[in-house]
Amino acid sequence: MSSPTSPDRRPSVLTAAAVLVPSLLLAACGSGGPTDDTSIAPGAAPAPSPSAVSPQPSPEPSVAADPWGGSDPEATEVEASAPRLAVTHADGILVLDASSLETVAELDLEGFTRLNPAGDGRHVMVSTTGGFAVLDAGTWARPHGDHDHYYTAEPRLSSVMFPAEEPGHVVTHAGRTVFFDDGTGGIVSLASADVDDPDAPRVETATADAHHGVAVELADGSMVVTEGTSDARSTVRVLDADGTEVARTDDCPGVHGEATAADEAVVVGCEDGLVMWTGGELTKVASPDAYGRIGNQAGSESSSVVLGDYKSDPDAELERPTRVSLTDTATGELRLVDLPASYSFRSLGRGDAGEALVLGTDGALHVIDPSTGELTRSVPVVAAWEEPEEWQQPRPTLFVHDGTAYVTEPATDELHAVDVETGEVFASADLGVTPNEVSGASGDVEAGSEELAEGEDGHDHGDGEDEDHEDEDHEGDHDHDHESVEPSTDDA
Amino acid sequence: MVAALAGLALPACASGPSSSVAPDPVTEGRVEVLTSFYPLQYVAEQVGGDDVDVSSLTPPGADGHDVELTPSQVARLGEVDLVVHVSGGLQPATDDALEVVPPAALVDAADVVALAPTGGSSGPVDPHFWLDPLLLAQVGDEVAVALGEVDPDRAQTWTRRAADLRDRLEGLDVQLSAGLAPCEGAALVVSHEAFGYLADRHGIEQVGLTGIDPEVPPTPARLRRAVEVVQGRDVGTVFFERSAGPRVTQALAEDLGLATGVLDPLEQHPGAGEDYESVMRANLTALTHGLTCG
Repeated sequence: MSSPTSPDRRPSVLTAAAVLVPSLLLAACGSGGPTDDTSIAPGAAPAPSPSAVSPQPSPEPSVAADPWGGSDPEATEVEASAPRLAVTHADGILVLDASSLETVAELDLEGFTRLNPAGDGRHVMVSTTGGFAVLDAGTWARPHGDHDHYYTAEPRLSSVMFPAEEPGHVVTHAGRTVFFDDGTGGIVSLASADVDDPDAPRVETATADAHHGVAVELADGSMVVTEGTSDARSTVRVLDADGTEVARTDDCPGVHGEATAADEAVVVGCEDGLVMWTGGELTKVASPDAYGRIGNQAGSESSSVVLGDYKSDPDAELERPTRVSLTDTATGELRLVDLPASYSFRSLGRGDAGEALVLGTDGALHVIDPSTGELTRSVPVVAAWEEPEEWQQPRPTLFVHDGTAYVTEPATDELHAVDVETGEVFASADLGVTPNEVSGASGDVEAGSEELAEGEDGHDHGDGEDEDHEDEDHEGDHDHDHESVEPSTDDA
Repeated sequence: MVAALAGLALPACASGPSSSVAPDPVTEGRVEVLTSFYPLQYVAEQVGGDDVDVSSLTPPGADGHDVELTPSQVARLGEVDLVVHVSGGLQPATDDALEVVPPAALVDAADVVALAPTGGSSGPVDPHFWLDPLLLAQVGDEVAVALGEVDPDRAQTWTRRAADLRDRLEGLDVQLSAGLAPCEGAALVVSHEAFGYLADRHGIEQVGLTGIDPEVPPTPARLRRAVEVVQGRDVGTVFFERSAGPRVTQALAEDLGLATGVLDPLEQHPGAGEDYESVMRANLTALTHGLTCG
């Protein structure tokens, strides 16, 4: 029924380790072979640190052997990509099969955690005390010619951690994953394929001051980054690959929340509209109201239009908005759409064709045509609900992957799967725990899937076309420090 | 970095099979052949017979794709008398290792067989040549030549066995051609696009169907994409590598009107009592049952 032991591959690194060792062996034994290690593994990833290398070469050939120390689970080949979901609850994280909604693993993890896709199709970043931890969802793809091969393994929490005082936004784009530490303003960027590699090169920078910020790295290595302090922030900067500022605006009060749309258009929300980075220019798009706050946003590579929340009451304790914004990054046009219900910061998503999705407090998934603003369908999914006062508290939450909208229902401890195109709720699962956040791993080739081994030239045709941008992860409402996983800082 | 890895190398040097205490395999009368995965292992066994020890970098039960090599396996590449491999990315780790540890002799099927780009385009080459028995026979001939250079005294034996293998593979090709002749023009819908050479040989169109795992009920979105694939084609069966579970069988029957079949791409050792030829005959039976044949 299965092919039990395909290896867990990290091609460049494993190849480097496997090839390098016997080469040295040969040289040491005087039996020839290259002696210059720089010529042995050209372009290979950095060598593993001594402590990470298993002390003895395996005496017998074994695909399950792991040169990194044998901690990786064995892999099983499967015939199609096997997307998995990660669902947080009070005591840990459930990993589910995204097709059957069956539980694959239950992982224990203390404290409030937040989730973001890591950008490689395999891992999920877990914002927890001390930083961003790495959940290996145990599902991945390897490109082979014009088809891919798919593998699954037991999910696990990696020992890799990206330290952060207040882990905030995780943004994946163009094969890079960027972490922002609200507590220090520190920014860490690395190849998405390397999030579970403790020795992978990380690019570390920082903003001038700590603030609740965000950084987006584009395909050419340039970066859109916010600036500000814990008291006030209104600046968006664009840095080229060398870190030189190429554009700047200070006209974005309360700057918060980002999204990426088609053609690498980046938007960042402000309390009076948003700022777009398109075609090499920063452009302000004003809200129709003096206070018209856009923060949480959801973009799609299939659409030039970005879906955003829209709040217009500067004095509200917890505003319950019933309008969303649709901003066309190609034209700079901002349109507001009235909905039959309010929503929360975990309500926004995009369908495969770019459909704007909003999970309403009426319990329905609202489907909006992003080009016309027309509400095309409202699908009842869960019972009517009310946004809790505390932003960390569970509430129905939306995660979209591969044509399916996944909706949690904390009131019943359920998870529902909705076919976006037809509105059919085709599966529901009783989780046995109260779900809070939900995210996932596609198990497919994405822009940030692991780099290919040498000799596989031309085999990578993963282009991330199915990848949602991980922009739905955003803070809530009136308070600007919500991203922190430390509840104590919530109302700071 | 060097120091850390040298620490690994030294113990292996003292106890490894490559040191001078190991008997020379040829003078022992045995030829050692290392192959990268099953169909090549099969060829080496058929041509080498009892005179060679054939091992595979792909353990039984594992898939030939993407095998990761242990350091001792990499070292073996430089120790055996002959390595039989297909370069070009089926086993990138072996491709890389062979550049670092040059074998005493190498048959690279990619140099023997005219590998075609996938999909008939300018894409990367499709390595799955062995699913056309005639192409595999070419590799058998080349293995005989290479063994003749390793052990010239038995050159006639190698040549004779390769000819025997060629006879059998050509016979298999005749069977395939006869069985599939009525199916010319049919669409072969497969979850794993490994059958391009077989399809091309017999005038069949291979169509890849991604997103359906035979054991996992597909989402509506994935079923819709499958419908798009088969739409407008005369298709009766979707072929997987494994038997489809009841829920998947039911979903494909209800939504697509399709049956499921099993085709083995022979990337794994077929297991006790089976070999390349028996599996190919089973594949032929599955094809003649599942394809729309006139």
